Amino acid sequence: MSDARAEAEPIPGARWRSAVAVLLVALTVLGATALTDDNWPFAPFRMFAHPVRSTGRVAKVDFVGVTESGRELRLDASAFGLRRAEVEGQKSLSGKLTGAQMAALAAVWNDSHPSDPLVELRLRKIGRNLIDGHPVSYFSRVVQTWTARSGS
Amino acid sequence: MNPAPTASIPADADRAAARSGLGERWRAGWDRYWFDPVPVERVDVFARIIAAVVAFTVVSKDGWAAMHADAPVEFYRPVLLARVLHLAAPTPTTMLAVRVLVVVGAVWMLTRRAPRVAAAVTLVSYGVWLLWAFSYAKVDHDRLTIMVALLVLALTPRTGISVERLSGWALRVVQVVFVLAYPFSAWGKLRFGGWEWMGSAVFTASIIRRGTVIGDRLLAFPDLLVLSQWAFIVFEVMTIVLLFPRAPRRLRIAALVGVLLLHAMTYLMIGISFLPHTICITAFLPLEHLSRRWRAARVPAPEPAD
Repeated sequence: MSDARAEAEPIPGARWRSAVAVLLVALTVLGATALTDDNWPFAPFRMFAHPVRSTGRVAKVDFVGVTESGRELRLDASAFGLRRAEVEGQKSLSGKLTGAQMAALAAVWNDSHPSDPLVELRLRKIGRNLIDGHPVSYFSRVVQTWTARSGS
Repeated sequence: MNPAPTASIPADADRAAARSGLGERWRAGWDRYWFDPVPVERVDVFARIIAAVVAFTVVSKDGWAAMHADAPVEFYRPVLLARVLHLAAPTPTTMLAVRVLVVVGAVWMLTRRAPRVAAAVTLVSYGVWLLWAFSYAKVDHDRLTIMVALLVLALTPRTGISVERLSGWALRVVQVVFVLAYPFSAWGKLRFGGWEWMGSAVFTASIIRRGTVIGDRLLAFPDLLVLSQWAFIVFEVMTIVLLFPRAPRRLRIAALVGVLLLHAMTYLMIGISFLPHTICITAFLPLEHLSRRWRAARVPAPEPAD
């Protein structure tokens, strides 16, 4: 078949397929410009979109757990079935999780380690200090502590 | 007698003809863009690539998403679509069931039997997988294009009238959404970070948070990292050229190579590949050359013996 004939041939479903294409483009644009992550899959492309001061701090969170036998363990979020950014995304403005969330983290770990459960769990903010974009020193600070006694 | 009507008839006819001509040209241009014919085998290969990546991410790469089955329910923050669907937090059983379903759908897609149903099964199950993945207060922006790819594959027949033009539609939609991710990623940086983003220490911070051996070495050169940020955002905007199939071929090839380099650099610096998005770059390639069926159809018939 010649190209001209092929072009003249009606395309079945062209109208609704065109509508689907326009809708997908419109939702992508709307998501990128006006919506939030809550609207996934049509959400803004915002990974690494927040600026960082070149003289300041770069922080991330981790955990330190103390077990019943006295062992002190450095734990990252994956020890509780989460990604670090997911923990960071749920902190309050003060940088803390809720007491129930801290207790739930300890419970998840203890379920899989019943022989030597956690009796204390600390949420830490760790990172590096920057001066003019140069990392110059490390810092570490305990933000929140859960203990088995207090339960929160 | 009023002479006006007789005088206006040719003018009206000319205007109507001009409008009709304009409409026809617009329609023809629209069809040329969105329904540019491509070999069916190109979509076959593309679908298989997408299926393989979906299976790979679910079985291996997205181990973090599978971990959510064991995460405390206190951290479950369902996104809007998950709330609309009343999607409860995953359990080890439901997570395993969805994981198996995604793999079954992906393997089915590889066979190219009942391709639309196979893609639909994969789309729905992978969609649930991703809703669970992103309902813990962190959304990644590398999954939109592959979801769109699954959607258009679920809507594209493999046989029938104008199947090559419908195949072209599927790939064009993927191409457009793939490309839009870049300028709108630049837009996101300006929307959330403002103009100061380019001069900030965001690459330094990313390396500190997720560094690699190569990335860690670059920490000693903050000015180079700031320069990279400028280059990054300028390039993201320039990828718009890929939206225009009639742009100079060399420019389009340069843009595609640039996209690959951008992702390679990101991977080397901070270990993020954006694979489910990046793989959709294959929608731009003449994938039919990888199809045995297509190659076999092009082998000239043997000359009859004398």
